[in-house]
Amino acid sequence: MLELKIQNLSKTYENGVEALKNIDLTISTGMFGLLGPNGAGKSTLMRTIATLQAPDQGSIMMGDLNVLEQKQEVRKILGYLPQEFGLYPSITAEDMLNHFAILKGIGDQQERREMVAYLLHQTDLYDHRQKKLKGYSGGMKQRLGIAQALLGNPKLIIVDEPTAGLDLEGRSRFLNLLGEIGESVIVILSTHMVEDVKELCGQMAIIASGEVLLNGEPAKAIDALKGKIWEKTINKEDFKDYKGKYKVISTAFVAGKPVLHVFCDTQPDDGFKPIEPDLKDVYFSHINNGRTVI
Amino acid sequence: MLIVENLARSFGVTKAVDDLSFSVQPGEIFALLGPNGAGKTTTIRMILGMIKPDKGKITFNGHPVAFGDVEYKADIGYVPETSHLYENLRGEEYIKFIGNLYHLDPDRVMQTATQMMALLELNPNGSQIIREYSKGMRQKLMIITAILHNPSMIILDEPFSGLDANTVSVLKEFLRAETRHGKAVVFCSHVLDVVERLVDCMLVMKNGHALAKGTPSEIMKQANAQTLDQAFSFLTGAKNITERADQNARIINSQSDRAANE
Amino acid sequence: MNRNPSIDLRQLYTLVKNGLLREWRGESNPFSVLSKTSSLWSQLIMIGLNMVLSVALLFFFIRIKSTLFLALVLSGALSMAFVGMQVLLVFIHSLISPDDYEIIGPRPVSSKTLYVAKVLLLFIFTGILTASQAIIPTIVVTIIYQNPWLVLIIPVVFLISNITGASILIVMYTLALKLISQKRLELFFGIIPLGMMVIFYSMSLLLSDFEQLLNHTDTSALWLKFLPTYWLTGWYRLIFDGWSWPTAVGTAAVYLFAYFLARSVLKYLSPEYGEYLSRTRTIKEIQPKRKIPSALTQLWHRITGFEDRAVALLIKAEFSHDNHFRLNVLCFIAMGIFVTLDDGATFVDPFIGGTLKERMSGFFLYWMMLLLPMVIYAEVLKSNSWQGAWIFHASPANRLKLVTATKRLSILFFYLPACITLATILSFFFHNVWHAIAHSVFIFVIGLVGMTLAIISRTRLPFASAHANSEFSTEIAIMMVASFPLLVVLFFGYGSITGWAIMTSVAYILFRLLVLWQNSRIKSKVRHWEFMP
Repeated sequence: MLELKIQNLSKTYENGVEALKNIDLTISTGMFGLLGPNGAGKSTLMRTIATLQAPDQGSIMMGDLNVLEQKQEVRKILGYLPQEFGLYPSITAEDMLNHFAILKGIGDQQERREMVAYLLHQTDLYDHRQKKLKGYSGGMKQRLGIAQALLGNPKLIIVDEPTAGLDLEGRSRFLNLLGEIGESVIVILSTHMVEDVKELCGQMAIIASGEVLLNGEPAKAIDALKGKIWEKTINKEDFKDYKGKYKVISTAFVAGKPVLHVFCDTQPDDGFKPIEPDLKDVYFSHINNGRTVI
Repeated sequence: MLIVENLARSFGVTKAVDDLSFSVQPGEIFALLGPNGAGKTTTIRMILGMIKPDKGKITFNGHPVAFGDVEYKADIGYVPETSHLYENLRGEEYIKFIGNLYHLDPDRVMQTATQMMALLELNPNGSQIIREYSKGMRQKLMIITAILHNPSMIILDEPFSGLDANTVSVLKEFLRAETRHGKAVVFCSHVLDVVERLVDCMLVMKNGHALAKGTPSEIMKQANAQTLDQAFSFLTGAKNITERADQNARIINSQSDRAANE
Repeated sequence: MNRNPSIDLRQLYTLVKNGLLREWRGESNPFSVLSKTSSLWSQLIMIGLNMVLSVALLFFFIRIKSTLFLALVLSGALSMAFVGMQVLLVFIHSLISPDDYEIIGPRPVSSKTLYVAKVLLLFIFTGILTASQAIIPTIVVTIIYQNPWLVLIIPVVFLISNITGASILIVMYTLALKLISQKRLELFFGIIPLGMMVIFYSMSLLLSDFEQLLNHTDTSALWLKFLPTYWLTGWYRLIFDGWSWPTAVGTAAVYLFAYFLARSVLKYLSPEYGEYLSRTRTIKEIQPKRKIPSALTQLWHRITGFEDRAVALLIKAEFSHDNHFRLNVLCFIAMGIFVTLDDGATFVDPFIGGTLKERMSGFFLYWMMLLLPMVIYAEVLKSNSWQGAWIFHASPANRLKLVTATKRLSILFFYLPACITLATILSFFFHNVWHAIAHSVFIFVIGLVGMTLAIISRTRLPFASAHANSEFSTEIAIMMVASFPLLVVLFFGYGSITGWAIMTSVAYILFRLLVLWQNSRIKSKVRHWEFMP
């Protein structure tokens, strides 16, 4: 089975920001979710795996392929959709996909034409294929980005916020597509939406301030919190006190009253009731917490 | 706070909104849901006086609103779906620009903005113009400028798009806090999980018509569904998404397999 | 078939084709933004300008000096600068761009393939410009001088000069990138076409002086030896004028320098350099906040309303960061100044008197200054960010005040300084400051009339319209109508202080009446404005 092994990866930018600090991850085929707040280092990690930038130290191996040394070979099997996807404004969608397909090494004209047509249909852009990209809406650009990432039978797909700008149907369609393809391919999905990771990903990591805080299976991460997440509805005036006294990981509001989720090994006080944790609890409990390896 | 009665608007032969009625109470979070082309944005634009209704009545805070009136807009904040901003302005300049459009005291504007920027973690460097902002940064800026003037109603179209989970959480908390002060929030979103947990009342639209109205549990009951996702899919007729997506994925995979075998 | 495994011919073909297609469609061409009609026209205008300029230069120099060599040196030098500038302004993004790295970077394109593609693009761009310059001079000069070798010599001279010129400019660009960000450099580029306009205009003014200098110049002149083309064409002298060691050594040295220059340029076309640019672009600039004295801010707040301040922020931002807007506004103002400099020399102070012809000689100046505020106002209505204008419709801002603020601030920021400059120039020509001020005041007032007419015909919010074709048809129409009254004014009413006072007062009253019409028109229109992106 194909595996991506990241070992001891570090990167510090010229302005002193430590974007990655000794990252260790092993990612096998299927969907891998990368969760983290802005500035966590997700994009830096994605760009490094996508061979766009070099780390200061560490290694990335994909099977026998050394990702940092054998960039050309990696790029042949890579599909990458960055968060800010650059386009040539004066080119049509069809021409752009065709151009990228040639660069990807899809030499046969017939095969290329069919692949481009299918991807345009798949992303609901076929009717707009002759339109210049400067006339594309944000959602259309995003869909085109997805299409170009899927060119040429990639074995490693990296997508950064792929569902931003898509409506419900588009998001559903894309996530289902990724879910199918992910069976024989490594798909790394960087997202803010915990729901996407919950629905799709067999493995996940939570990253913050350049460090991996959690690495493992979502189900196991949720299990690890069983019996440790407590819920209580409180009065608005008591909110500050509770925040100071307990580890409040999230707050929701029901009928105008704060409903706290608290992380604690034992029942914090009488009013708290245990609840079944979900992935959001996992995420929020780690963002300000220590590391967990499952 | 807001009463919409029999609102309608057509573009050519297309009825974008047809005989739509609903109301939003103070302190309520109200959601407008529907697929693309349902008429949500058109409805919002008519409420804001950006386009003229063909017929219908809009009442805001007890006063009827006619197309061309501007005074009532001082009490509404709006975050559109697409983050169209004057991109050559810096973030701070855009905030001042908005402050001037709403006739606000400049010092108060910067004070409110500074607090909101800290809350939403928007920290552009001094020389960055909006063109250089990421999607998330633009979204945060739009949200900040929508509440500078302390409106009694905030309308947001896809407000969570481009925001990380932490910021979404903070924003939800903030909107809830606003409603506790008697403000109304109207928003459109595709993220039904958030809608389910946040809203008090919702309206599902399609092709300009209202399909269902009520609390999330009422809507689910109406559609005989376990989740809001299912209810939405049932009501809007989008029940074949999964099957269609599966079929298309199979086409892609068989194409790839064929290429690999040749 | 691909003999060298590290260059993929198919990829090479598509990269070059893609680069040319994007350039042809004006993706990075600043001249294309001057004419939104079609970038094809911009390309053709650029090629046409090259042809005309090269022919004009070559024949000018031949007329002055019958020595073909000297003509080649001088026209080659100017062409070198001109082509270098065009490569820098128009084609640089296809050659050196961090965006390219972001798009091509993750794709399996070898460094060598990308590199060769960029080199080919540089040669193609320079080749097209060289061809446009060299074709006509080659044909005509060959016929005149009856020397078939010229068919080879002239194009070669132009090509070598142009590649050297492009290389020098590219190296300067990359050195500048080490010191300032690409964003700031591009802002500076926005002003270069204006600078070129100024240079050409100055050249035309100094033509007779230049002609005199050249008449006293021969091939031994010292200043000639500082021109690169003097040495790049040294082989021509060695072949046709006989061997000379200084010429041989000097020519060899310059060619060696050109070789090393070309090698360093080629380094900047490499993907590694693209990666470096992409990396350094992500390092954010931290700029200290400029402190505006609070007294000035307070004064500004006292004399302006909210809508004025909102529009002022927009105008400032667009002028600072939108090359299109800045270039158009500055070009129009520059044209006004050029016309003043041109006409002012022959324009006799109307208060002094003079023949009818002398009095009428100022007509074009007045006409130009009437057009100027109208075209400036037309520019302030447009923006690439026009969709951001939704905020005007969703906010309680007074739209009448927004429109009138746009007019007031266009006058304050652009038209008033232009009129002050006009007054300064006229005082130099008239040798009388008060007369110059008086005429400038009249021009200012008729400019206000023109601008008010423009608002009445085109009532819109600032920066709320997309760029469109036929952008100045309204303004031109107004000017055609205004020409006759203007002629009458200059012919009949203007030759005395009394006449000036009457004409200025009439113009001012007309302006006030038009303002009433303008306001009523704006009020009736704003109630029906919808926002339809």
